[in-house]
Amino acid sequence: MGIRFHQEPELEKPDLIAAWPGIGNVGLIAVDTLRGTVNAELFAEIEPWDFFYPRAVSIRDGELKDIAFPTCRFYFKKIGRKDLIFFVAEEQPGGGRKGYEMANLVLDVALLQGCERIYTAAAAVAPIHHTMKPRIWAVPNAEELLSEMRRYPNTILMSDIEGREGEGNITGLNGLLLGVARKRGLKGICLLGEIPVYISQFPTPYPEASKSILEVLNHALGISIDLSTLERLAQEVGQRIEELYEMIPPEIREHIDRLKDVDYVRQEEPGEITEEDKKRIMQNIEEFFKKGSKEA
Amino acid sequence: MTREQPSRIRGKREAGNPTLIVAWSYDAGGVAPGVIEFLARSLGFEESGEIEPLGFFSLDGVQIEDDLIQFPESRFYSSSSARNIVIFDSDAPSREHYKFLSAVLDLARDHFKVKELYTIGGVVSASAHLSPRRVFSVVNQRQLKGELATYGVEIDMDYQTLPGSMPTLSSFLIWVAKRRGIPGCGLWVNVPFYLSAVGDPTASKHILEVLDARFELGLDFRELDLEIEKLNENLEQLMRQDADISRYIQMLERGIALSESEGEKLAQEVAEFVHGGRS
Repeated sequence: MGIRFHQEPELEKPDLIAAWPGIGNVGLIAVDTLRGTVNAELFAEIEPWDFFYPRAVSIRDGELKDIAFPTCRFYFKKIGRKDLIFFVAEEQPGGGRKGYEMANLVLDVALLQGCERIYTAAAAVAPIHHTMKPRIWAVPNAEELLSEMRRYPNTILMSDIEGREGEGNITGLNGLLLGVARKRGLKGICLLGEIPVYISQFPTPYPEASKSILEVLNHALGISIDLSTLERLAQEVGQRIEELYEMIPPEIREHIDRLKDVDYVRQEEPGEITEEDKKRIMQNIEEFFKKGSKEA
Repeated sequence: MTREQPSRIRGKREAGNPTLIVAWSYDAGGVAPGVIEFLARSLGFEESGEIEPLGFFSLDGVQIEDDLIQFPESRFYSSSSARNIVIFDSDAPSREHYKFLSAVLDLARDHFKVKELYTIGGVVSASAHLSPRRVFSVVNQRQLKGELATYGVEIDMDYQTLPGSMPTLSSFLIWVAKRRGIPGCGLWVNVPFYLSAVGDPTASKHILEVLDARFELGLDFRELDLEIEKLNENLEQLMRQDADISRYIQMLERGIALSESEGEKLAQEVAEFVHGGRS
């Protein structure tokens, strides 16, 4: 189990931005788009065979030439005075122990490069409508980051969400990495882009939420990244989502459309939609998708 | 020994540098289990080592098959009548595949002093049971090909995993062996799809013939030939009784593809006829 270095870049206190596949591939699309836009260079990768079953084999003229595993790669880029490391994985390892081992390998590289801050990105399934701009739920692993995050655009904290009392959980490596980072004394923030609850059931990515994550990263990192590629992708996917949306029975669409008026962020004054209304809307939507998945 | 140790050894090892023959318990047409059972009957193999299941298989409970509780097994077998081969017969692990395959190769290399390994298995194909069978190989070192060709093995296959499919555990093992400098060869034989669940002794025999020639085992195939004859007679009888089945098999003999529903019907009817006591 190890890390293979292709080169050893000289970086100054880089920030690490990591993502694994997840719901709507929200985090992965954000981080991989950023990596591609800045032309980050590959410098290391985690040897995958301890974590994954191979994906493909290549046999030529009766000889086994190669076997391909999901990749877990590190890239770097200097943007002005800001140094960045990207970690992009094609798959999440299964089981708690394997996840813990991988998280530690990622942090080994981060610490070796003098990293002081890490970001992960993922999806937050939320009762929102797909025509609304996804917000970002920001969750840090150190209290001193809270005040900084309050200044991020379009961002809420867990304590802002009605009924959560600041609590929740982040499944998979996007959360685990930050827990292990906390254990090893490294500060980090998970940025969760909202994905409408009904879209999270569709077999489609959700780049709208990825775009919101990148906007926050632009602010947090003090960089200015062109988001036009992601905007184009969001437009294309948006069209597909509209097509899928039209296939939902009108009575369910009516319930979903009421999400436009729902705000689950804690309000000083009660809104037009009551808590009872919210519950009923969500119940109807969930029942529809439960029925759909049973019929599929 | 504690349960934490991945392997255990039984008895003294035979001198020399044998070849490891690797068989997985679930295989198209039961090819690998068929080969191992035949070798055990013919040459009297005895258990000589084992990989512990802990960490490699789900041990939350047990499976029941044919009224019997099952438990994952991963065992090495040796025979004083065939000192040039050692058998590894195992269920496929459900986790930690790389670690498992490494443990197999550790024991094979460090205790049994194996010089090379062969994996054996069946590949489902759209062919008929009386059509000529093909045995083909996948090697991890080019120099292994020459000798295999002398046993009638096809040595020039090209293959790329198709979308939605996964490499076989045998390919993974051969790749791990390659990384460790251990010569490895996968031997595959085609199995008509409608015999995949029924069992295909003809396919097992083709693999056995290659092993017999390669390792000079002196095998007597008369018993296996009777088994093959019986299955072929059963299939003849089914073809006489069912015009559709006869037509489907004849189409396959002529290389004509069946539709999905025709293929499903053929596989189902053959399974019911052979296993369901209609023969």
